[in-house]
Amino acid sequence: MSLAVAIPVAISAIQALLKYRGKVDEILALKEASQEIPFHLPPAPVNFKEQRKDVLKFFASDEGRLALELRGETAEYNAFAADALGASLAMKTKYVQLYCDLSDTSPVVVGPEAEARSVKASSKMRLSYYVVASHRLSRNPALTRLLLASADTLLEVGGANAGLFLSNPKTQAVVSTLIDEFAGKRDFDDDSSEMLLKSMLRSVVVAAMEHPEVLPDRPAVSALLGALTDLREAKGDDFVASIMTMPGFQGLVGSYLTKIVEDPALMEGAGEFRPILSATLKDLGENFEKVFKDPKALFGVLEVAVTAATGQAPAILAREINGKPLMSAVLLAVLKEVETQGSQNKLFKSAANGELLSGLYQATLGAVTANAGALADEAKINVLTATLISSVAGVFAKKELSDVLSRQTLLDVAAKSLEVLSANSGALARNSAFTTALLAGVLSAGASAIEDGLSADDVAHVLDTAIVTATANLASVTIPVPLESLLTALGGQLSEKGVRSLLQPESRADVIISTLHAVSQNPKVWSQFGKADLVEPLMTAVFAGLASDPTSLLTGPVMVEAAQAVLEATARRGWALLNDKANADDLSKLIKMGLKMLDTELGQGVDARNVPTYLTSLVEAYLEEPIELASIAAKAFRDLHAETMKLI
Amino acid sequence: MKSRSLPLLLSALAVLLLANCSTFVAKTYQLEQIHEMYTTEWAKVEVPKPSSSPTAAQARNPFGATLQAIRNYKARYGADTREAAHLTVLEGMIHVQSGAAGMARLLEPEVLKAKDRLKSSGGVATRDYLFAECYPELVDGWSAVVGVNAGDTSVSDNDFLKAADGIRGKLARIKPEARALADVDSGGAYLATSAVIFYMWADQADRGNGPGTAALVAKSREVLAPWLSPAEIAAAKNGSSNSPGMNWGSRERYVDWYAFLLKQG
Repeated sequence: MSLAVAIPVAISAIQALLKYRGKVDEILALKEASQEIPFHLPPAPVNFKEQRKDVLKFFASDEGRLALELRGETAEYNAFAADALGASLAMKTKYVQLYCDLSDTSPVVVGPEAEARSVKASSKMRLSYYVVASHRLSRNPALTRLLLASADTLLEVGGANAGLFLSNPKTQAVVSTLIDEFAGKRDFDDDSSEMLLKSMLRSVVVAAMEHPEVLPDRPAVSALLGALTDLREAKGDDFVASIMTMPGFQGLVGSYLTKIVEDPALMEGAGEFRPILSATLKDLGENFEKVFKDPKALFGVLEVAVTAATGQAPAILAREINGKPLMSAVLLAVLKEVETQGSQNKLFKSAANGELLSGLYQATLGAVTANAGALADEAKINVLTATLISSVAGVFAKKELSDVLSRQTLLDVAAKSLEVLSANSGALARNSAFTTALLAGVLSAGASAIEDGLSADDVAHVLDTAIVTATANLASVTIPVPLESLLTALGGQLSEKGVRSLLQPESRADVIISTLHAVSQNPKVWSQFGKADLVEPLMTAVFAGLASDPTSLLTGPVMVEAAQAVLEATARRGWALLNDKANADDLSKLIKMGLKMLDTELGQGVDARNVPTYLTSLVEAYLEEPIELASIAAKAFRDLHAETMKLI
Repeated sequence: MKSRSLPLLLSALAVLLLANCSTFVAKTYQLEQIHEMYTTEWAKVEVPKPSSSPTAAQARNPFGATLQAIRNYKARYGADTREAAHLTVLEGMIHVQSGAAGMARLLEPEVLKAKDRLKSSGGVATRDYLFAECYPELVDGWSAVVGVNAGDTSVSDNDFLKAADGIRGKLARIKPEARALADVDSGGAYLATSAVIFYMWADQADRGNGPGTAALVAKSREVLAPWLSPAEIAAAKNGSSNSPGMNWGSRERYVDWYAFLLKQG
């Protein structure tokens, strides 16, 4: 039976009930009076008829007679036995019990077998065996029960402010929607409706009271209420109740209550977002039980969904991929890929829940909606998802990371990285392969720094800067620079003892950025270095060379500047290396010899300020016209050094 | 024209009154507490077994806290409300279950008086109404049980027959339209099963001049069947507890008794 009155009238009635609380108490007390409570049935009698022969036989035996004699009951028993069937029930019962006590057996009791299996179960089940239910004393049709349930809940949670809560137009609108969804459109005749209504109303009131100053006129919570109602139809009350009773549901309601809806068409009644939510929850419940039953994962995903929805045009949200709303299709693609990667990487599988999952969803959804025109089809979504998630999973598979970082640190770093990718949705959308390779490379390069204390926030900052830097020069994106292997090689150098002792974790992070700057100055040459397998040898050469510094000038920011300068110079004159006029070992030797020379000239025009310039000029001059690097005493080198010193 | 201040005044008055109450729905809360107390004390009570005297625990009044709470409730909120009527019946049933026949009889006039306030607004004979209606017979039957277990040789099959026949007659007089559905109210099934158990006592107490087992079993079936649903009767024919997928909860014991009666031929 649906509601007999319009919702506004129901709201007024609830307000009236709140006003006259005594009456509410009376009505509820009457309801309580007809609650089920336990009562024992009368005990059943001993079955004397069935046991009579055994009793008589026993007391005719020596043992039985002796027992009677010892009790002084021989005469009484004999009188009983003479006409057992005609004896009083008290005597029959007495001798059956005595027989059982002496023969160590149990009396046979008339009636069904000893109380049911439920009695052996939990105390709750035992109690339920004995309760006697009662019809209601008052006739409370569905409408009255709805009003009472609402008033009772508002009083319970809102207390003295219950009336004010309902008078506030913003919260009144939410309560109206709730009543409409849970009672106006459905039968309110069963207990589960009442329980669900009260639970949902409780959540809404608590959430509203936690955020009284930020309640918008059009909160997204209406879509959540609507989606839950849809699910009641499709999946039943228990499905919905299981969502509402998860830890964190209150927080979700609060989040939806305070999300300001820009476009009412998105959220109200027949808005676009409601079926998206319904479809998402339904799919998760049916196909991804593990995620569905993980509150952090489930609610994380739903929060991402509402954030994405409130920032998007309805046209995008309305898109369908194979009959599913876009947001649901993306989520399913993410979950499937997570499962695939998880089957190949145990560490990733154990980490890919809760925060990480919502981060993956947010990053992917952000990219798809940033470029819906190009990406909103199943195949492209699958490619994007596979690229992103395999990259993130790869983080957990990299030995240089998983060997040195704890699982939690990896998780924190991965989660922060996903936040950065979400903030750079455009870059991810335009070239996911490049961006995700950059992610993997930056994390590899930063492994030693993270191990030595670089925070997840710092890593995120590095990654963010890296993306901005690397994508500022479009050529870096389109030309196939082996960024990941370059950064991995860099990471190897940054974790070497010599370099590590010269650079704090923050400075090592700066080196990563400066290296990317250097690469973006000459992407084509670095691409050629990659093809010629020169990247790793060159990185080793440069940093081994710099780390040999005897002057003690190359530390911190100076080292950062020097590394960038030398790398830029190496690429500027990269022709020599690419055409075998010089090699990486030569480069390393050159830098070492140069620094040794500088060490002998400290105080003669050399300081931290001009070392990077010296090294740049030295490398450029050498690569322009390579010489034999015999020793620092050799004339050729001394001449080269002298020419270089003139330039600083 | 209504004054704007009147709703504010009423609200303020309500708040002031409620400031003295532990909760905003004080009567309801007190009733809930009584039910909780009763359930806790009930769980510790031993039902009188064959050949047992009332235990020391029973002698000490095992429902002491519940009974005190009931008295307090009536003193505070009055004894002439429908909730008070419910509590009077509960009080009576407390004495019945704990084998305190004397106290139970003492309460009989009050329980019978409470009966008039216990039919539902729709005219349905609720659990408490039926308990009150059959209260004298319940007291008689339970007293006889306690008597036999205490060794009273004067208790005869007639004592049990009187109780059982009394319940059977009163239940038969409840019109069909006043009977609640089986899954809503179990008062009738409880009383009918009580009558069945009293019939079984009568059968065992028979000294040779009673109606006979077959007749008593027939009467038992006759009193219980109308208070079971068709599904429950079908399940009893199948052996009750063996019926697949059935989970009777609080109705299980009535269905099991009916299945037992069917097996007696």
